[in-house]
Amino acid sequence: MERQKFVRYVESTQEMLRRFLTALCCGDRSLADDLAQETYIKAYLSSDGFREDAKFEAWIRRIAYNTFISYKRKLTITADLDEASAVLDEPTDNSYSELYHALAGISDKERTAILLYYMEERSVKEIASILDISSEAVRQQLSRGRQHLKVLMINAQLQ
Amino acid sequence: MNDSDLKDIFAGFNPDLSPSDKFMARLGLELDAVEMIRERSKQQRRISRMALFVTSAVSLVAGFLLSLTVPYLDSLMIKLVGYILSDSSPKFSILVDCLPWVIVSAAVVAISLYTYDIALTVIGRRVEIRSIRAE
Repeated sequence: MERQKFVRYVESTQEMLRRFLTALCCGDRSLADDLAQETYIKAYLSSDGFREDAKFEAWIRRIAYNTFISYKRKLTITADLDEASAVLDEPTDNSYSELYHALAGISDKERTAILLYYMEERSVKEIASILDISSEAVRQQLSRGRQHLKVLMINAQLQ
Repeated sequence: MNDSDLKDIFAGFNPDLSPSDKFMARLGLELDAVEMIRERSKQQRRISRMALFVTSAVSLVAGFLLSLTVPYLDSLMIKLVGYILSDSSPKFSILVDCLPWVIVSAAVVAISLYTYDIALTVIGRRVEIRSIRAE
């Protein structure tokens, strides 16, 4: 893919992707920006084989999710788990702190499924293709994520 | 908490993001770096191909020229073996037959390796000078 064309795609999708990654990183804006940069670089490097213009958004989300997962893996290998959760527990944007803390309490897969379904309004089928799991598994993640979020949000409101 | 509650929570989700122009400028710099590395590795592949071509040509010529020396090496071996050993047993005659070709092959391999190394350096420098001039 030509650079100009790629930059046009980035311009049209970057805000949506950064919003999604900010929620996925539980409010850590600088981490979300770093992951977004890494996502676009990875996409650019493998863009030669990309042909379907209409599916750019789904493709970029899949790369973003995989980038986030590999970041988390690296984090758990290099730092201990306490430090890892501390990183995600410190939102740089305080306007949604309650939501970020609730999101930090659920698993990465549940969080991604919830965000893609409710924030990005993606269908179960699309989420399944992004997460590379079955539609049934997505429904399970959504159901579990909803339950966990419910408990965490109620707890946050009580405190 | 049901579907509509969650939809309401996320409907108004609009966190503060860093300025888009800053994000795009940073990405632009990273893409420049990626393209520079891409260009470099493409150039490196081109240089390796050219060096390989030069090495093949030199090895072919060296192999041909060195194979012309085999009869001389052969007689030299016979003389040498005759000088060292008084009896000419058949097991040494095989050695005498093979050794000149082994020497020629080893020489061709050595020449090829050195040629590849030299060609890589020389062609690499030329391409670098040409690219600096072009800039």
